[in-house]
Amino acid sequence: MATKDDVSTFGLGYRFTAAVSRLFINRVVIILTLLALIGFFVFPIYWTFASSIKTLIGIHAFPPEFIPQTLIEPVYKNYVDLWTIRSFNYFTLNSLIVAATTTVIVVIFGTLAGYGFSRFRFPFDDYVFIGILAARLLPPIGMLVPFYRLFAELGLINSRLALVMVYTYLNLPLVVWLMRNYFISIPTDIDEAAYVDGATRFQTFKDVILPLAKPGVAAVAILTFLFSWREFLFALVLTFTNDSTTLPVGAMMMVEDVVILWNYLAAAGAIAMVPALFFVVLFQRHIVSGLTAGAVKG
Amino acid sequence: MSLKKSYLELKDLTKIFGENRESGVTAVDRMNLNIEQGEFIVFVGPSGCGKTTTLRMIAGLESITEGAILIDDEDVVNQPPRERDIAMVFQSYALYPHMTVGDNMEYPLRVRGVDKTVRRKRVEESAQLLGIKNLLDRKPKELSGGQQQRVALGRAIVREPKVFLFDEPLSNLDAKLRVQMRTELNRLHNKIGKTSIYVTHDQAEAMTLGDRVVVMNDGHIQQVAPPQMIYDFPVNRFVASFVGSPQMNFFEGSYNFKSGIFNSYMMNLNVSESSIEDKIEKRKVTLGVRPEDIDIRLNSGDAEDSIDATILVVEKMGSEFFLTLQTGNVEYKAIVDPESDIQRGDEVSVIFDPEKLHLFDFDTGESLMEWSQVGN
Repeated sequence: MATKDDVSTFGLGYRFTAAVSRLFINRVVIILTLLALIGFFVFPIYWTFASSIKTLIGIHAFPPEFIPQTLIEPVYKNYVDLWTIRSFNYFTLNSLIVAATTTVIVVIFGTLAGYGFSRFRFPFDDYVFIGILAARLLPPIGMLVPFYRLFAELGLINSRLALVMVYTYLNLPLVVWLMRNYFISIPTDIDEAAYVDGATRFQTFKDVILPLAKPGVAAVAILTFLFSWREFLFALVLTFTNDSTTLPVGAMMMVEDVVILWNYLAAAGAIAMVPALFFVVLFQRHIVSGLTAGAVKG
Repeated sequence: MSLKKSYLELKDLTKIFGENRESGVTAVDRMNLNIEQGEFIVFVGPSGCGKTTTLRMIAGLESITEGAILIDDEDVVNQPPRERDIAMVFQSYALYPHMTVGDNMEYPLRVRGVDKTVRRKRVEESAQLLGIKNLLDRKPKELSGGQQQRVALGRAIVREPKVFLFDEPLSNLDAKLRVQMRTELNRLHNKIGKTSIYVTHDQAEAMTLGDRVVVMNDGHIQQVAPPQMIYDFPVNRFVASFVGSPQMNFFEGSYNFKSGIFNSYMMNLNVSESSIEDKIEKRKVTLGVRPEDIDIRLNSGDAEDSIDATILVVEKMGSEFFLTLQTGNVEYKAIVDPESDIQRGDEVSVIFDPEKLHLFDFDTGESLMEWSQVGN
């Protein structure tokens, strides 16, 4: 009969692992570990927000004010200043327009192309697919100068359209690839059932396959939106004025020649974080299932 | 109603995967078949024999390399699946996971632009027929395998198509449910009476469901006949071995056509009654005998044509015993009644039912029996 003492008949190694696993099974240890991890990830977000309601002096205070004390008057003044005298009303609008337009274009074409690659064979299809992906393998900075020259020739420098084009170019390959994998995870039997039931190929896609791919579409839409929302390099080079400059570049303007306006920078960061937090909280489940589709049989 | 000779016709149907006959894989080779209206045809064969490929070509899901498919005298080869007016039940059921049972069944009617009230009525009727009326608002994943199977059937019958295609529809069900659904399919076919083609690798399904069974191997039709004919009069060794469980026993030997004696080192048998005339007097053959056509006597007697054997294994199946017998170094199976007092290691004498013996050409495997020259 198995009793507690039986453990002693096992080797030292077993007893050691048993002791370690007992330590980790302890609720308090688990909770403390998790709290430390949460703190590690949440603190920067908290610090950005806390700094955005302080004065510059409060931000530079030593020891640091973990609980904000030297608050600016009124407490939302940094935000209001950004909005009224630092042109953030333009920057935010530009960012929204660029990110939303890019997302719509990328999702439409990426989903259709991904479905095509997942279901239909055509001559050299593998090479075409790798070619599309290869475009994404180049370091973006290598394309900076060519793009600048190109847009200069086209007269598109300092326009939102230029940014939409660049971001579409940078995101589409990844989205085609992710959507193709997502569609591959949907059994072709379902397409065929729809064909036999009397649907055209487009009806099959619209009525049957696309609704099943919703988590994938949500995931790539969020990825594209967030990428376009926070892209810095191309926005910095291709835009100059309130007509087209986006949030990250606007935030960078707070780093001035002799002073860094940390309070404004923090407020800009807090504004920029809003859509990310919104999407992650709302669609987190979709992002995970969308990105891991095909990894394991679901 | 017009009387048509054949409703669905396959003419020299060929499918080659790959570039050409030499470098590619020939899945189906010059297949010819005429199917009458209302007939239930079962394609049966081992995996890779081309039965599913044939079905998919009829459905329009697979392009054809050569030949023609005629449905109701119309060549459908160049029509996409939606124009062929067929319905198909898939092995995986392929239900639309995001739609309710009712929407699943309604979809074929919806894409064909059928009026909404008519749609509802048809779905109700089909659901009634299949006993799934209470499930119409559920999603497929909330259903059991058997229920999903019924929904897949429902989606097929709701539209009243010209032809039903079934691709191993019962193979994902557990054994008990499979037998139950088999009976139900039979009843359903009797009620609806539509032309149906059913693909399976399960010989029990083939035997019980088919008006006619098409036995396939290696992309070729081996035999087309009603189930009992396939069982009683197989045209070659492949068909003989494929139908029947446990399978037919085969013995190598030679056959003398003058004397009608089959001869091997373990036995001399008289097979004169139904053998054919042949110019060659003596040739190498394979003798086939089904386990159920073997009788045993416990007291090794002096019965004519009896063979001495040792019982190696006794498998008690309840309604019958499966015996594994050994004569010399040849092992073979027999099925006997359970009341017999049989033990492992017993020495017995074995009698093959002389009426039920089969002879096959040793090299080609073709049947050498008289009926094989007439019927097929």
